[in-house]
Amino acid sequence: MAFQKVFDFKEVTFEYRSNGVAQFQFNTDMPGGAMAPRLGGGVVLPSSGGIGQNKTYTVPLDGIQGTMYQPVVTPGVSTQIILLAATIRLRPIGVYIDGSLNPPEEWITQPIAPGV
Amino acid sequence: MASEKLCLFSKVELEVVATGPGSLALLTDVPGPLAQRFAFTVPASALRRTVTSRLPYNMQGHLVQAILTPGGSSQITLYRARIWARVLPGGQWEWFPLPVIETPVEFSPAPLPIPPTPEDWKPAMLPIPATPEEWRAVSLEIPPTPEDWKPSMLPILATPEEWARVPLPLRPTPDVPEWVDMEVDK
Repeated sequence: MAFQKVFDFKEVTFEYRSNGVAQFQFNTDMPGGAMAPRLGGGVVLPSSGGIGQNKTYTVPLDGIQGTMYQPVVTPGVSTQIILLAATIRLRPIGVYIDGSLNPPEEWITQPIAPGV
Repeated sequence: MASEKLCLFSKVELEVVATGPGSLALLTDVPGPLAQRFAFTVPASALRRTVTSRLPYNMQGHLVQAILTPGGSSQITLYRARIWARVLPGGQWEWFPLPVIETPVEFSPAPLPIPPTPEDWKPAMLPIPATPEEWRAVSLEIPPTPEDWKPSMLPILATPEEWARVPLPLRPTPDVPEWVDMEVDK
């Protein structure tokens, strides 16, 4: 089994203030073993309506996995954004076996005595 | 084997997601030492699915061991594994779970490392020098009077060492007499 835990990602929720749009990208190291963007061209964070106004926005991350992750928020041209908080929802996968590693991983139990 | 009970195995069941086919091998210790008694291919599945396989009718053992190996460079996520068995001679058929680290059903929140922005406003001092409450003595700029006397030259013209020629105010006597008008009483 992997030394590092593999995580399933569900969504990330931002609370922010902005006077324009911003771009959100989510990098993970799976698949491929190298950090790479997993949201295609990215997801647009809409304007909150001004720097004085809070907005909460959730971006789905279904189907994305990784042992490491890196969220990236890039404001658009002439946009200012204040990130107040962000929460990502994830869960660790119990048994993730990677056959592409060298040597390949495998799942092996101890000899078990059922009924004891 | 000493205290372990002899079991008869009938089925094995896995719950997996597999990017490619893998294989599950089952080992038991009857007959003889622990050895592989059965293996089957775990098919590829992009979605989480249950894979079940029947086992050889006479697969028995005090101990059972499972080995799941992904094929090629595929990855397998294993959520659950169990084996259908009964204790001999008179036990009931039941599922015995194999030890798989649990994957939680729910996603748990994890805060991202964003420094908090406080809700309350905080006063900050502007760089204006404070005006003191008390008065302070300040020395005026009066040049000091020296203690010692200093020689100073008086404005007396110097007497030259040599004599200077000075013409007296005498009118010269003309060579030819001149007529002079005299005032006469009228």
